[in-house]
Amino acid sequence: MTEHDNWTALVRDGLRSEAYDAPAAPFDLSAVHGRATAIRRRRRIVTGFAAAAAVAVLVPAAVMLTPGGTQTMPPVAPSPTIVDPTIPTPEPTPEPGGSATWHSDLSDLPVGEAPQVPYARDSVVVFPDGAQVRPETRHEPYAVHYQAAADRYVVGTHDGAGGWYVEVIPGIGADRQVYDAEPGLVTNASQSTVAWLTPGGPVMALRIGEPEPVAFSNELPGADRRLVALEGEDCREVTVGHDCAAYVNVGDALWSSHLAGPTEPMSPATAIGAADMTMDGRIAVMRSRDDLEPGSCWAVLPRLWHDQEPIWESCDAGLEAFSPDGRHLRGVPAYRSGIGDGLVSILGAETGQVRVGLGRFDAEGEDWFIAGSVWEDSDHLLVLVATPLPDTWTEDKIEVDHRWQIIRLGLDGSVENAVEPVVGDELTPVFMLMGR
Amino acid sequence: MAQHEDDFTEYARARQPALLRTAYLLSGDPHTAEDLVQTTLAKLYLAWPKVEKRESVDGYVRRILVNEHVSLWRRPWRRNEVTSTSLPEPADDRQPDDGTRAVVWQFVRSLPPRQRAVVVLRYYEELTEAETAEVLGISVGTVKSQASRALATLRRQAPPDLAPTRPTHDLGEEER
Repeated sequence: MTEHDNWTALVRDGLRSEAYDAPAAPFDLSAVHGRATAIRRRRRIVTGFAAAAAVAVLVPAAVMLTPGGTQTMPPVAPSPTIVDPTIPTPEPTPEPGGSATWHSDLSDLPVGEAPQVPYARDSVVVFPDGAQVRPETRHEPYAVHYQAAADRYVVGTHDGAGGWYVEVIPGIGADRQVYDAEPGLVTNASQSTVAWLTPGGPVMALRIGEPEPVAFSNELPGADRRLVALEGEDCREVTVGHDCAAYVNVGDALWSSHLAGPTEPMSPATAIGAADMTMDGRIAVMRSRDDLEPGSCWAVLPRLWHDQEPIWESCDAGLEAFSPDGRHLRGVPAYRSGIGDGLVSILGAETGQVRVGLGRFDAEGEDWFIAGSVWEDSDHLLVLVATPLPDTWTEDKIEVDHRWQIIRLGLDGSVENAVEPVVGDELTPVFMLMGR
Repeated sequence: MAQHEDDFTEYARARQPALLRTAYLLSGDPHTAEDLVQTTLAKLYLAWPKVEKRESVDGYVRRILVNEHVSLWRRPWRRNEVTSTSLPEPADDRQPDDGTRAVVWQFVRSLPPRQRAVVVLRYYEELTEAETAEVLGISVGTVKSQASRALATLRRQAPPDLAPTRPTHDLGEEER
């Protein structure tokens, strides 16, 4: 027996001894049933949280908008491959024919231009011109929107004790407004309006130029809800005829709620959840979800109507957000498992074909994972990546530092750091991306 | 349907104690462990008609459990949560404890989540390196290095009287 074996045995015996005395809880079948029912209700789109909680920047519509086309392409047949769930989730493979460009080694990238959209570093918002502002929030921020035209920040915060809020903070002045909210902030495609859910109540929308948010006229059912998309440019007042609708995942159903109109569920055959919507009404929807692989199947619909035929659908990738021009989509793993996403890609919004991506394919390579991504412009993604570094021992704890990178991934296949990589701990991202 | 229900109940009842122990080692908190196991079994229940005939239901359940744990500590507000310090009193009536257990447990609790999961799966669950990598969604190389570093650190930090007997050689930092 080697010394290594002796130490291994020591750890094993110590853990067994500790586990043996762990408090036992009686098996309660009814509790398991109850939790299963709650999960059924709560199952929301896999990427829903990421999309809804993602920080976003509101910029003048003219800067960002180029509505995408609506021509349809032949639908791509779904490929519901069933594999043994005990086998590790295979990372999506590059497109057949090798037309997609994938990057795996992110360790030694050049540093390019600074991000062309604001981002946050240690809660300080850094603007493209180098200006830095720290929005003074009452609670801890998890998402930040900046309404440039109104020079105000709309910040999603939490108090760490179950309380969630939206804080509206003027760039100049101190009249902070704090609203009770459910987790998640979303913007419409033009980013002119930010919306959130009130606890147990209706959607609230705050449009650039409006001093106060407006509440939708009808409440939504259920306690397990997630606002995922906002449509329309006229979310100002509750008047019939105004073009403003919100889409909310409620359990295993997608609901639409109109500012002054009806609130109703979509047919499950059409969608059970959604991720994002374009200016022209195309919408990325989840069609099915399973805890077993492939995890989720997604489609792009030309409009959100009952029994709408999809432009394309696939079980190969989850969908998160359309590019500003509506021509591309950000793709993520269809089944999100393990320590963190090992893949992000740019897909053609009309075909579902992968154009370019970051993928952790090398089993012996670095175990980087993706902590978030946003569109910088219609041709580039900014991707927040964390890579574990060799651990160090501090006074009473082993620290595994991570290299945090904001990586710019271009449609042209280019990849680079958008800022100098920074070392930080694994649970507190140094950077916070802002955008959709 | 009734047969499915009976089969699930039988399986869950038999596996729950072991799952609780693993969840406790992963989370370090009995209440979190109980919650993790309940969610794990609920997800298993939902998937039961599809998985019950598979050879390795245990592997599937373990993966759900670890993923639930991972998703907990990756939540951005997780850092605000306070882990319970009311650990169970060691009422070991099986064998005298020479202090090893306390040192090992304190050490494991000090590990960051990823390394801790590797240690629990490798040395408590006794999974192979490949199986551990599968469950955690990381490479075999990382499992090796994380486990090795954990042992090396414990060796450096442990009191001299805890050192295992009969050391034959020093394998160094990158031992396998």
